[in-house]
Amino acid sequence: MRQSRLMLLQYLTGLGILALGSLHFALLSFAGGGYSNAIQFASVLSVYTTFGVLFELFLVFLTWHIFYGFRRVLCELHQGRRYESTVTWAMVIIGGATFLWGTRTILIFLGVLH
Amino acid sequence: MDAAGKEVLKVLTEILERKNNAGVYRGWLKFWNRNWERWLYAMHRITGVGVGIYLVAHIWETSYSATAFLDVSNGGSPVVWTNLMSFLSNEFFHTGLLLVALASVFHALNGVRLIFAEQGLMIGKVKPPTFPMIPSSLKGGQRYFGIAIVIISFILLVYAFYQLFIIGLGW
Repeated sequence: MRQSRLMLLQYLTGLGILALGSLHFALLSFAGGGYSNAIQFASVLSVYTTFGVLFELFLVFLTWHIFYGFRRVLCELHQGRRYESTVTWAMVIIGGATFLWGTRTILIFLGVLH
Repeated sequence: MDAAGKEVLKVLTEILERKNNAGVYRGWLKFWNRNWERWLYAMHRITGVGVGIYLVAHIWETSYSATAFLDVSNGGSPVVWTNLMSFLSNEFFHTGLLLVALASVFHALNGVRLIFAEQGLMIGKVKPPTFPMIPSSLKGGQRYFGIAIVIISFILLVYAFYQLFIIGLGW
């Protein structure tokens, strides 16, 4: 994929994170009845069962944005075809593993995984 | 192509293929004695890497806490959850969360500024360069936007402090 398309995805996921991150922060503060109440077992369960799909979308946006961001930073520090390819694949593997591990958590919260 | 043309092409190729050898310290971290936008650029990088590392730690932490929600149809394990929250509810971890909140808000708002700049919004009117050679892109809305971002970030930091320390830890 062209670098400009990848960068466009970086901007779009960034805007998505801004929207869903604001929701996440709101649910942990005023919308959740204050931080102490928001981290109670019943409150967390209620939030995850209500917004589980949005959390998965949030995870997709975050994983892309962060690991593409890491790739850009690392590719600016050193140049070379082999180096760039190694960095790209390392980010794909670590990012993919992070995404799968996060998805497992969301599926447990949603009651899909027991 | 004549000899002079080939020489120009050779020099241009060398410039285009030149590697970035400045690295972290002499490259994007060296923001002092530079302009405001350069400072915002360095902070965007630092906060981005910091929040990125936090995300990986947060996913590990939530995956551990998720064990409390296994078999949730039979009530789950509130004790596991409560124990984890008790372990994390102290000044050390809440200071970390406060820094994450500050970094996240700054990075998000500065990201919006960068999208605006890339689209040519709020960058000032294009003018021929005249002494003292200050680019018109560094005047106008972008500069004020950059200042507003830092002010808003610190206002929201105060709110995060209220939630984490006053409400969360009962200070």
